[in-house]
Order: sequence, then structure tokens, then C-alpha cells
Amino acid sequence: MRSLTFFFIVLLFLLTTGCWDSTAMERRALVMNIGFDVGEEKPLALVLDIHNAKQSDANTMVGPPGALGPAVIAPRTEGTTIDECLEEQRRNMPRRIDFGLASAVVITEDAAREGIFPYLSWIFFHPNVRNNSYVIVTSTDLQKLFTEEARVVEGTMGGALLVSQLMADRKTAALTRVNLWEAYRIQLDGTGSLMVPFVRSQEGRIYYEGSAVFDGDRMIGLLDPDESAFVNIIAEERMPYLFTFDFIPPEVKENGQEDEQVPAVEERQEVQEEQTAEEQVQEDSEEGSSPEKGHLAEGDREPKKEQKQSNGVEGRPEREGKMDVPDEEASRMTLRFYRVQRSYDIEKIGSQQYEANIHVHFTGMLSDANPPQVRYDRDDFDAMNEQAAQALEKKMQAVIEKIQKELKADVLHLGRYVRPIDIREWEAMDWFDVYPEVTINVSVTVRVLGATR
Amino acid sequence: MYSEKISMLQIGLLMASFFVAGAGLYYNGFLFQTVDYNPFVPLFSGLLLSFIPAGLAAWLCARYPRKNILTMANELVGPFFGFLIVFPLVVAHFTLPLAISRIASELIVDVYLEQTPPWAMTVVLLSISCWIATLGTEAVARTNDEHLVIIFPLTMIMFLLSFSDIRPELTRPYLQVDFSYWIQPEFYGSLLLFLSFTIVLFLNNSISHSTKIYRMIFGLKFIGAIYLFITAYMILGTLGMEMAATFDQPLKVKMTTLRETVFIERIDIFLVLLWLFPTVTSKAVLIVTGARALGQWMSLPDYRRLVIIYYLVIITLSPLMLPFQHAKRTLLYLGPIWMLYLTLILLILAVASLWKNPQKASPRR
Repeated sequence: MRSLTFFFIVLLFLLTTGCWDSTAMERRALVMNIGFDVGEEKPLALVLDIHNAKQSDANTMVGPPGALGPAVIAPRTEGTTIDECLEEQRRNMPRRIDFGLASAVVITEDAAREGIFPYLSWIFFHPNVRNNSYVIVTSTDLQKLFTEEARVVEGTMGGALLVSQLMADRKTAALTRVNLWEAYRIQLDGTGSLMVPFVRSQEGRIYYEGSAVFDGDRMIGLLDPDESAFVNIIAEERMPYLFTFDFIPPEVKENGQEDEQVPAVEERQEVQEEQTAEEQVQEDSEEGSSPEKGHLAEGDREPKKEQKQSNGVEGRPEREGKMDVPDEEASRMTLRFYRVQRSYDIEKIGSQQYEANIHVHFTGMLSDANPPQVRYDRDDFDAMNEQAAQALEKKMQAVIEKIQKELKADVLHLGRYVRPIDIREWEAMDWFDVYPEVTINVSVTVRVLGATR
Repeated sequence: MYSEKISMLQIGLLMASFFVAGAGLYYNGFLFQTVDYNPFVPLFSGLLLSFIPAGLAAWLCARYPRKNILTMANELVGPFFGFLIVFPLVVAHFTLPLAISRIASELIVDVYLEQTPPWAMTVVLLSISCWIATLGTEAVARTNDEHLVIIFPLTMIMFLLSFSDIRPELTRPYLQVDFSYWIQPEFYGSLLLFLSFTIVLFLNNSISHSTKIYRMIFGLKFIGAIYLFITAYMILGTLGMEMAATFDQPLKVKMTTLRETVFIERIDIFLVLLWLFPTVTSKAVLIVTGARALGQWMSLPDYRRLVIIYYLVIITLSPLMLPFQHAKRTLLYLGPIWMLYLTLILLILAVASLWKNPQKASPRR
């Protein structure tokens, strides 16, 4: 019995080796990102982002300078099929190509516009690649994207830099995130349209510039970061989100000063241009230097009026949804939403006719970008709830209009909810023919709980 | 014949292992390939179908406490026919571990050891199971207890980590039914998972309080069905029906989709262990029951030497199952044939029992 046990143990040691091929680290090419592009001579191009482990911060056995080689190499091969490209990579590289660490699949815009499903399915069934790696579309040349001196805070993390933003802030509405398996699923079941982060590299920095929207597996358009954020909020209930809007206190409305307070957009922009930086600084310093204003009695609206009149800088689209510097744009109210609850109520109103009622409820607080010296009462908060909801609703309607009528892409994944209503009809119809005709009503409610200080 | 004792709880846990292993290895693959939508209906249909042989088995085991199916058949239909009708069941017990090992090795090779050939993993898994089986029925039951202690927290982690990926609307509709599963071979293949109660028939002579065994058989069926429902729901909610149906092992794919986790980057390789522990013990219990039956027929004082002979034979035969499709097809045919045959012989035994002794047999003690 003892010898039998010994035999079994020896057998196990012999057979359960994780390193079956005994390929040591220095014989491996560690692929951090897999890039796909349209070839110049052949239909496809494969660009691998290969991380030089010797350049890693974790390498404590640093040799003489110059002996380490480049931090990242990104060889590009072309072929008719992906496997052909990979074979050529194998011929050129004296390493075993290891996809085990690949964190992103990066597809150029040109390739994405021709269709990405072949890439997704090839990678999905590649045994080595992680199914939860990210899918990214880029407008930058892949070799440039991978090899540019991208050493910001991550040191020489190689390709991990590309997705470090996605990994670091996983819940924010501002970044679109799609995993490989998710993209593959959306392609297969056709219950929605794919939306993929769109990145650009400039001087070693990665910029997330909204999202690429797909019709089937072809990229058809772009959503800017704000539009992407709204889609992420509705489709994925992503938070947190900072939202800035024009707040008119209830007393001001009652006194009929609304028109004076908030001029038309054109006027406001003129005011903004005319206003010099010096004046601004002067006003700011005056406000800051008067200690009484920080201790105003409740209900005293003077400081807010002053601020409104003094700066009048609404209508700067580049600052929409972003945190305002309090002294610069005090009249703008910034809310920090930390919770969103979305409900889809989709009804069948006829043969292949559907109506979708989307309700979005935001819960948040005043961000610390708002002037701390102003105290708000219940009436103010009620007015804020109402006005913020109106402003959000308007923006969401515009986004929905764009994605439904212009792009005809179901990035809100309404199809997922339509499918079970009558699955026989679903199987018979083409959802993307029906989708542009769906009536989509959106309603928003907001609850501001208070100020952060 | 063999003076081994296992408790009711242990036999229940052994049955539970079959459900856990089957759900991870093959059941969900079969299930999703039977219908276009709503796989929960074939799941519960399979459960209901399996109540027929399970009910007969529970009735026979309660009627003949301290007797296993060999003794029952011997007494009811005579030694020759008794051997003839039970022997195919033993063959099934000996065949299944090979197919299961191959399917489990696919899982390991896919998730952990991409460079390792599947035959090596098949041999390893068979070796471990046979090793446990050589230690006897009690050792198998105890090993299984410990394995379930490990897998319970893993199951909890798996459920918790899966939660955020689940889109409930992908699992719908629940009320619209696709009845095409009745003509799909995969549906009948999936019935295999509900046959875990056959080990009770073989181990009835070792179970204490066996007159109440029906509680354990039906209780475990209920718990097993809930487990299967939850795993099917998780897979559907994540991958959707169209994608899930393209895989033979969708739960494995579901595990590899877990988003980057905070404390372990690749939690999936840890969680896949979930099915390996119960797989090893459920194979061991199939082998040990088969060997016990042979030992009983051959009147051997120690049946465990048969396990070693079985091991050598099965390793020699293992190349038969090397193509994954062969292993899958074995399960596909074994499920319905086994179920049908089991129902048939249990009916024969039940009728013979009522014929010979219409009154309830008095318990031995």
C-alpha cells in the first residue's frame, strides 16, 4: 500500500506540471495588448504590444544601461487571416508569444468601420486570452499607441497603461467599458448595439474621447464623453457623475427677476467675453475678503444674486457636467450624483411596435464646487430637484434622439427588454429595423440630499 | 457483506457532489442546447421525470433496509437474473468516471494548464479518484465531506462575484415555453445528472436509518434542482441564451467572465476548483460502488483490490475518450439509457417484491 501511495504521488508530480512546455520567462513574449488594423498590402494587420519584462519596475536585477532594450516593442505583421499574421510574428520573433497577460484588444477606427466580429471571435476562442480583457477602439496608429513613451504614473507598466484608467475608476459614468465577453455576447444575441471606449494617444498620454458606436459589428459613429456618460448612466446605472446646471433660486423666480438673472445664451457668451480676467479676480478677492458673507442669515439671497450678476458665465459647453471652480462660476450649481436608479417600462403597442418609458432617478448632493458661504433651505433644494431634473431630461432626450434617429444604434439595450415580451415575434423580426420607430419617453427625477459641507 | 457504515448525511452529501460536479462539467451545456429560450422548463421536466425511478428506489430501499440492490435482486428474481439485471448498472458506474475525467480535464486544460495535453489530466484525475476509492467507501464519504466544506465558501464567492454581471432580462421569458426539447437528445443526456440516487441503491446496506432514506433522496433532488436553477440563471443572465448555447461548458465560460476582482486578479482559476473536488469524489463513489458490487458477487473479503485492477484497465482504455466529443457523446447516450434501464429494473424489482410479499417486509431490527 505504501509503495502504491508513493507511486501515485510520483505520478502526480510528473503529470501536474503547470509548465508543460518549460518555457522560461525570458523565452516568452508577454503580449499586453492585441492590436488589429487594416493592412496596407493585405486585408489584416496584427500589432502586438509586447512588454519587455526586463524594463519592469519589478526587475531588481537591472543590468548595465543599454542592455535592457526598449520597454515595449510593437511588431506589425500583415496577412489574409489573423493566424497568418500570427504565424509571421512567430517567424520573426525568437520568443514564445504568450497572450496570458493581454488586458485589451485594441482595434483601429479603420478596422472597426469594416467590422470587428472576426477579431472578437478569434480572440474569444484563443485559449490563452482572458475573456474579461477590454475592447478599445483608437484613432491613433497602433504602433505609436503602444510604443510611445507612455510613462506617466505607472512607470513602465507597458500595455497595462492603456486600461489603467478603466481599471482604476470602474464605476464612473464618464468612461465606457466593455469586456471581450460582453462585446461577443452583444454581437451574438443582437439585443443591443455595442459601445466601445474610443481612445487617442498624444505625447504619451491616453485620452478617452467618448465612445465608438457600432451597428452590428461595424463602427458607425462616435459619442462624445458627455453623451457617453448619459448612455452609461441610463444603460448601466453608472455613477458617480457631476452635473452642472443653471440654478435659479425660488425667490428670484417669484420676484420675476429670472430674465435679468439668466440672459439668453448669446448674451451670456458676450458677457463672458467682455469680462476681463482682472475684473474677475477683483470680484473674487472682494467676495473672499468679506467675512460677513459667510455667515448670512438663512433666506438671505443677496450673495447668490451678486454672484449671478457678477459672473454670468453660463452656456460654456466645454464645462458642462464638469466641476466648476466656485469663485469663477458661482452661479452654476454642480451636483454630485452618487446613486442612480433606472427603470425601463417597455410595452408592446402593436405588431412590431413598442413604446419605451425610461425613468431615471438620481440621488446626490451639492458638490463642494458650490459656494460654501451660501446656505440653502428646503425650498431651495426642492427647486434644485426640479430644475436639475428638467436640465437632465433635456440633455438625455437630445442624446436619445441622436442615438435612435441619427445613429440608429440601440446602445441603451432596449432590445434586451423587448426580446422576452414576445419571443416568437422577436425571433421573426429584425430588431434594428423596428428600433428607430420605437417611441422612447424619458423622465427624470432628482433628489438632492444636501450639501457636502 | 462489507461492514462499512456511512451516515444519512454523508450519503446526502455524496449526492450533492453529483449535482455540483455535473452542473460545472456538462449539465448546463446540454440544457442550453435543448431549447431556443427558457431552459428552466427542461430543467424541471428532467427533475420530474427522474422522480419515477427515484421514487421506486426510495420505496425499495425503505422496504428492504440494510440490503443493497444486489441482495434485493438476488432475493426477488434469483441469483442469475439478479446478476443479469444489475450488471449493466455496474458497467455504467465503471464507464462514467472515464468520460467525466476527460470532460473535467478539458476544464482544467482550458482554464489552468493550456500547454498540458488532456490525456495527462485524465490520467491524473482517474488516479486520484481510484486512489480514494482504494481506501474504501467510508474514506470516500469522509473525503467528500471535507471537499464540500471547501466548496461551500467557493460557491458563495462565486455567487457574490457573479451578481454584478447578471442582467435578469437576459434570463427571460419564463412563461413562454419552447417545447422542442422533448425531441432533443441533449435533454435526455441531461437526465444523467438526476441519477445520483443510484449510489443509495448500492450503498443501502451501509447506511444507518435507511427506512427514512426517501427524505434524503427527495430532499437532495430539491436542493440539487435549486443549485442547477441558480447556475443556469447565472449563466443566462451573463452570457445570454444565444451565447451560452454555443459552449459545452458554459459555466466555465461564465467563470472566466468575472470582471477584474479586487483581491485576486484571476479569481476564475480559483473558483473552477469548485467542480474539481466534487468531480473527484463522485467518480470515486461510482468506482467504489462498482467494485463493491463485483466483490459481493465474487464473495471477495476485500473488494478494494478490484479498484486497482479497474484502474489499470481504465488507464489502458483512456485513449478511447481522448477526443472530447467521444466523452460528450458517451454522456449523451448513457443518460437516457441508464435512466430508462434503471426505471425498468426498479419496476421489475418492485413488481417482484409485491408479488412475492405483498405485506411490508419486516425490518431486520
